Amino acid sequence: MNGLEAFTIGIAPGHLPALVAAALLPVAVMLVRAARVNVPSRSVLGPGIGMTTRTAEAPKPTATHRWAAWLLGIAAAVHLGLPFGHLDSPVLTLAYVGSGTAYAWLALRAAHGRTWRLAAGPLLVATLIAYLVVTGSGREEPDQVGIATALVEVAALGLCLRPIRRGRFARFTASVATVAATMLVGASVWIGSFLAHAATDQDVAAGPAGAVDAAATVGHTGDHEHDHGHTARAQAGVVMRPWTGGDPTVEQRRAAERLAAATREAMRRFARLDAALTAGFELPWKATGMDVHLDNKANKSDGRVLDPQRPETLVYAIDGDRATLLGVVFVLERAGDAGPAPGGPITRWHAHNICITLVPPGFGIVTPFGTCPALAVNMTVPEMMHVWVVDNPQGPFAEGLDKTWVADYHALHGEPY
Amino acid sequence: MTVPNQVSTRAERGGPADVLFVLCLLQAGFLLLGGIGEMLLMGNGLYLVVPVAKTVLLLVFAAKAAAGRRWALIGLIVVQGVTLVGFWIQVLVGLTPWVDFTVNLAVLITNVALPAALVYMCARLLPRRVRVVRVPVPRAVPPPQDPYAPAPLVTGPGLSR
Repeated sequence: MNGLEAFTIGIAPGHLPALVAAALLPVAVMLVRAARVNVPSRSVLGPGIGMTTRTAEAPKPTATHRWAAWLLGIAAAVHLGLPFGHLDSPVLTLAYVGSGTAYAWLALRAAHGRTWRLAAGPLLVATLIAYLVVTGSGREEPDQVGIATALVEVAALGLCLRPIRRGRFARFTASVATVAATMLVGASVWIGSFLAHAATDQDVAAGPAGAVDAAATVGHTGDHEHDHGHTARAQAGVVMRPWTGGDPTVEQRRAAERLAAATREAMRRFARLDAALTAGFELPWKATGMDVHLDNKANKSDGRVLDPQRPETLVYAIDGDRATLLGVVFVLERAGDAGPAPGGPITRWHAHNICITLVPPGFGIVTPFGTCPALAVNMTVPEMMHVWVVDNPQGPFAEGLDKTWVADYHALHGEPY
Repeated sequence: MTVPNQVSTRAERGGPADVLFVLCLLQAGFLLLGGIGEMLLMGNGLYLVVPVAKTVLLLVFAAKAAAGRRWALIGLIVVQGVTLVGFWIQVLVGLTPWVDFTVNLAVLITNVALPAALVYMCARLLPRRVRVVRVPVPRAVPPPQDPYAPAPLVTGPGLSR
């Protein structure tokens, strides 16, 4: 998928109003400034609150005030915009409106150089925890709007924690807390996205019936349903296209079954690792483990797509002097191309966005914040699809296998090589 | 004579140097998170060395920049510049047929907006080297007088012609 596609896929449709609201915030601020709406200093909102022109007694806002005002303002816009995508839950709507209003009030206070930290701190922590609980429990799939908002809130929290007075210990503690909060939020979103993905794996891969449920509800599997569809919108290691075709048809189910059967039949010849090596599959530098991938360079550039006779990669469990063929990975030649999905939502392709590090050579996966470790290049590899030839409890099209199950299976069925 | 100035905001609490420091703390968090992720995936603690080293460098620059050190501000500009250049390199690499580059909201914030904001703030905070030129200060001179003008008459008590 191209850059624009990936960008739009990362945004859950239900969160689009919130993003629009945040994008419109600078316009709104400019309009208000231009209009110079004068609210009496002793208004019902409190002295100096509201878009008043600065009075002589009002304190001068510092850079921290200005940044805090914008960050809290963005958080307010997002929270106030969210109910337009979450109309089905009155409790959630009230929570969004309440927190959005509180953020807006604090943003105005900060904009006028008044105290904001005391109330902003608990509010920021509360909304961040709420978001992490919702995503971590699998009730909502993390998406780019949620992650960006969390980033904004963490930044505001960092400003909030920065002590005003001098004091090395206080500053050190605040700095550690800011770094820890950033990492905690990132790790939680990461785990949330993995959980959402694993849940889809179980639902979709278990069979066509599960695929129907998953295609309809995964993404928001809780008490409020959105037509988000699971698409790994956090884009932190996995990038997927949304499935818009609805439930799998009878023909798609049969096609998926045919593909799995054909692959299983064709791969019988590679039950022994030696046969695969003879056929041109190459062992990676780390040649042991429960998911060793052997690539075939010739098959990767033969122009064939989803050919059970010529898979691009084989997956073995290799331990000691025994190996077990687990399945294949069909890989597209060009990054960004879409593969055929004969089984509809059952046979969905996915790509991995990874960080290739140079020193030391290796790879990791992109964090939910879209960052990589130092001296690394962020790239997304061509789309791929797993087809397992073993009796995987999660079905032939699951994206991964349970390592414990693989270890047990390998102990029973491993072939010497 | 050249006088290296300190950053005027050194003592100003809540000033731009404070904001700059907090934004660097966020970047440190991103770095460590990515490093820990890679370490867990590769199963080797060696993969944490470079991220930790860069984090330390970033935090030293940030702390010293907040204290008004010119070299730290320049160092931060270089580090952020590398991040910005890296983004565009990744975009170019993503144009090749073999790999793609996934651009999303988080990537744009952390890889473009944040480094750009830090470069801008560092540039604004950079103390300018002021060249002081000694210019002779003119002395106060009396208003010009006509040398041929008659002397003023001095009259008063006790004076007579």
